[in-house]
Amino acid sequence: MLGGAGSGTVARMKANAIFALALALACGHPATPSADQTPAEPSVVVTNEMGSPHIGDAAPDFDLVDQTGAHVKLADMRGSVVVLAFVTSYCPFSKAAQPSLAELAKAYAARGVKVVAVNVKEADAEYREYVSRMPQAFPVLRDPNGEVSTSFTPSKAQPGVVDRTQVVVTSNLVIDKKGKIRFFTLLDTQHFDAKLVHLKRSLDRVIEEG
Amino acid sequence: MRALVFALLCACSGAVPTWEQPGLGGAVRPEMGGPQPGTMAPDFDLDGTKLSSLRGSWVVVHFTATWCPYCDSEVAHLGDLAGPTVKVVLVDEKETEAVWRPYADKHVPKNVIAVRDGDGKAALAYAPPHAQMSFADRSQVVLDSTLVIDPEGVIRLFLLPDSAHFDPTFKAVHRELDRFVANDVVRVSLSTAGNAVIAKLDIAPGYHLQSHTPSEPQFIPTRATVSADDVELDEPHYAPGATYANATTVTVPWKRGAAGTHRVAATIAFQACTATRCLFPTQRHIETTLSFRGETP
Repeated sequence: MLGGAGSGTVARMKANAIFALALALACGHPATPSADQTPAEPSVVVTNEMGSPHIGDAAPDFDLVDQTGAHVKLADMRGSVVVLAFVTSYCPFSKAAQPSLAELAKAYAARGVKVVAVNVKEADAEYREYVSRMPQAFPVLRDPNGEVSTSFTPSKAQPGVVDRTQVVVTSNLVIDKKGKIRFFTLLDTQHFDAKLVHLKRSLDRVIEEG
Repeated sequence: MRALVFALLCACSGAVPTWEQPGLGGAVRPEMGGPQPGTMAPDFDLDGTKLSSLRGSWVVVHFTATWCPYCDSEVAHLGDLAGPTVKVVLVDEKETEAVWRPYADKHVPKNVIAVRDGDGKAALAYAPPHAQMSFADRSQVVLDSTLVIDPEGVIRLFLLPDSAHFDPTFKAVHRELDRFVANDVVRVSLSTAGNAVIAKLDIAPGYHLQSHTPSEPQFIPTRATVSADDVELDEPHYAPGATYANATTVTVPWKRGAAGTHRVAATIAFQACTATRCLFPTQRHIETTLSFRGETP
């Protein structure tokens, strides 16, 4: 905008306004948070450009142990809608979402939804720290080497994160009754959905399908 | 315009992962409250480093923790932000010396000042009160944040983490910092010698400029555009050589025009480099009034 005053300036201002509107529509950004800071858009959605697994793929199976010592196998939950959350004790985002996850598990239990957390590669003390905050809220599975976490990590997601086991920390998934991934987000620190509003919306749609 | 909007639609629609577009999306906004660009950086004194004692240099402050995977992916690149007039301070959040020191010794570049904020009070002073409202521990709001603080101690850039546009090599910070620093690297002053306009470029220690005739075609040459009201000036003359260090002058001879005092405007475009890297090309603009004798020397 090096031009001076005159009709050209007005035309340019109009053009800029259209340009700004186009940009806002195109990017949906800045997403306007509501009063409770729930972002207008879900977090970074895992799409097929990122590699597999992504939304629409079959969820990789796993067999891990929870805080009671019981084995939890994903394939055994076929027929139920599953919410899968990758968590750590250290991550402030995991910590902030933990009460929402507990609330969700309670609220959706009657509708047959199983909520399961996978603790990503933490040592005993850290794992126990996460569990101890809400010991009975939902099963917290141990993934001591991060192998299961890695099996859920799309190869092209967050290429800048060096430790690939950590890419899915704070990711949330909805897996339908046939074992297919229907919702899958990665951490978006600027549009953090602490109350899991977008996860619940997706969950409601998947439950309604029957 | 239509083509531009189309290009934007393609860029934003998801075909390109968002983290391939690092930017300033994490910038602290006024409505978040707390320290902002334009306000003084809250002081801290950690492990023998007092932030305010670094006045006179540009300072990059980054908050980290050993367990934070985003922080850990960035730490090796922090040293690249340091320079002759830039110091980098890495502040570890709420960890014990036993956890932090071995990590720092192994992973933090040697040109980075690594300090520990054991109780999180330094971080807390920076935390915007209205950001990340779901965090009970407010000191964690600034974890993985980056600030640029100017030589007077004023915050010039404050970025909270933006994982969707994760920028482990600090591309956006480099770009902004270079712009700030380049303004300090070259000081331009104008004078006359006889009838010629002399643009003197004082270059900060540790930096050099690519000359008007650099050694490689990809280097950005120094270019002066000088004009004076009511006076016609000739083509600028530059000093020989491939680079300029310490100082250089550009001489712009008087061609014709009226004697007396005239307004002179100069724009100097340049690229400043250290021994290891070049800053983004930039330009300085200066205006002053100078006296011309008004006759051919």
